[in-house]
Amino acid sequence: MNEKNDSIDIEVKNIDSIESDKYDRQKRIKGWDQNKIRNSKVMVIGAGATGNEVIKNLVLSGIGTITLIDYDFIDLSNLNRCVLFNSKSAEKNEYKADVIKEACRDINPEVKFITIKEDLNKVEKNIYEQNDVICSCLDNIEARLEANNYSYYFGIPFIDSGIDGYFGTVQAVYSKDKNSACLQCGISNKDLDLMWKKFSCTGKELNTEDGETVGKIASIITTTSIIGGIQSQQVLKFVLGIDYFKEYGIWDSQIGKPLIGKQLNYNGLTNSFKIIEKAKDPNCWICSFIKSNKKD
Amino acid sequence: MPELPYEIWKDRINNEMNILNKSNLIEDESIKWHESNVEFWINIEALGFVQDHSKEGINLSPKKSHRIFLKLNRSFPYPGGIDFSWYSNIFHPNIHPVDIRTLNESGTGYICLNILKKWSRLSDLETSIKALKKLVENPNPDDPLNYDLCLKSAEYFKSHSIELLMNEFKSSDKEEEEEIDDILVVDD
Repeated sequence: MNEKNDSIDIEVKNIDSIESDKYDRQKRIKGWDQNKIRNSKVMVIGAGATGNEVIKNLVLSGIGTITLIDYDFIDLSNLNRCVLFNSKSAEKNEYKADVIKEACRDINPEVKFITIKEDLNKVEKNIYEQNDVICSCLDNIEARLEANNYSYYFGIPFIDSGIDGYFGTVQAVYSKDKNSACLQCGISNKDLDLMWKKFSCTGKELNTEDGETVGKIASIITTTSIIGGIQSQQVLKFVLGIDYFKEYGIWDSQIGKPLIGKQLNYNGLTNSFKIIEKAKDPNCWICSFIKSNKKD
Repeated sequence: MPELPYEIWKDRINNEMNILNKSNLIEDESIKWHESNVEFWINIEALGFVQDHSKEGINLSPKKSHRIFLKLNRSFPYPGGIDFSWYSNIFHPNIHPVDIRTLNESGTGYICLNILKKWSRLSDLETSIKALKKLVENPNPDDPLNYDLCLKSAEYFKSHSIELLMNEFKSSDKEEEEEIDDILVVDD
């Protein structure tokens, strides 16, 4: 009975502010705290198709500060799947980061937007520490590992995604959750071989042993928005639930546990999702080292 | 190439150096840490050959101790993280030493080592150095480096059996040979 009275009370009191509050509907979700969202800082690496979707979702949700890292320019072939780009910006060959910043100002002027137009490995490493969640929307394994390594080291939640045609994956890594595998745990010798070939032979497009071309992959907006949606959902879960986790060591049931130590696989052909447990590699170059050092 | 955070990178290299130090491979006080790499000198033992210039034609004399300059950059232990530079004189198709002792050619220190190109999750400094020893004793004349000295030595080892040569010098020398896995055989 009390509950009912309370809710009526609030509605009566703040009837004007509710009408004018654009976040009203999401605040009705149990466990939601718009202040946490407003005060959070999220770094998005890569302003491609997934980056566009993730940023769009984060900006609409009212994330406080978004840092975007991308050094690339818009190309006409981006326009089939990037909601924040437009044909004018493609003609002018503008920076992806600049165009997204501009578009986000129209969507939600409250969001503070920082752009860094540099290669990820040239960016100052303390940028990882300055953010609450790191989101990787990248197209290559080298940069993914770089982001994974530093996020893991600084103890910042890291969410990775990947797209290939009708297929997509999302995986979260969080070093403060002791069961969390990291991206380096799943790296195979084939991946290393490919990295080396790319590194040592510049210029021409590479072919793997299976005959696949490395580089440009198939990508459509439908898959991208599903994966981008799941990825940004993970960001919100971390932002809303991390304080509770740090205090009690478990995730708030109202917010749920992010995909830590797990990889979600989407198959657009069979319309199915599959969640795979990612095992920790006891000899991992990153997480085994951090663990052994802490023991000493 | 991705990199490990500096602290982890340094820890990892220190661990690997401790393993090398157990067999006294690293020269004392040669380790120099920099922001973007670490450098040091190592000495390895393997039966190789040098040219004896006192006589006419190609005459080889054995050389067991070799000095190598090593530089590990920030991409270590990812592929491309190790940079070997072979310093001491050697007559070998796949090694072009810095200390070359011929008048018309300057040494580069390049080594054609397969394991550096086929880097795996389990590759490390120790396996690379074992592979290096194996390379010294198993020259591959079919794929020489493109330098006069290396081409000359490739030609020589094509017409002279390395095994016979080895046995000739080994018989006078009864040191135990370390067994090295077949995986490390360098054939490129």
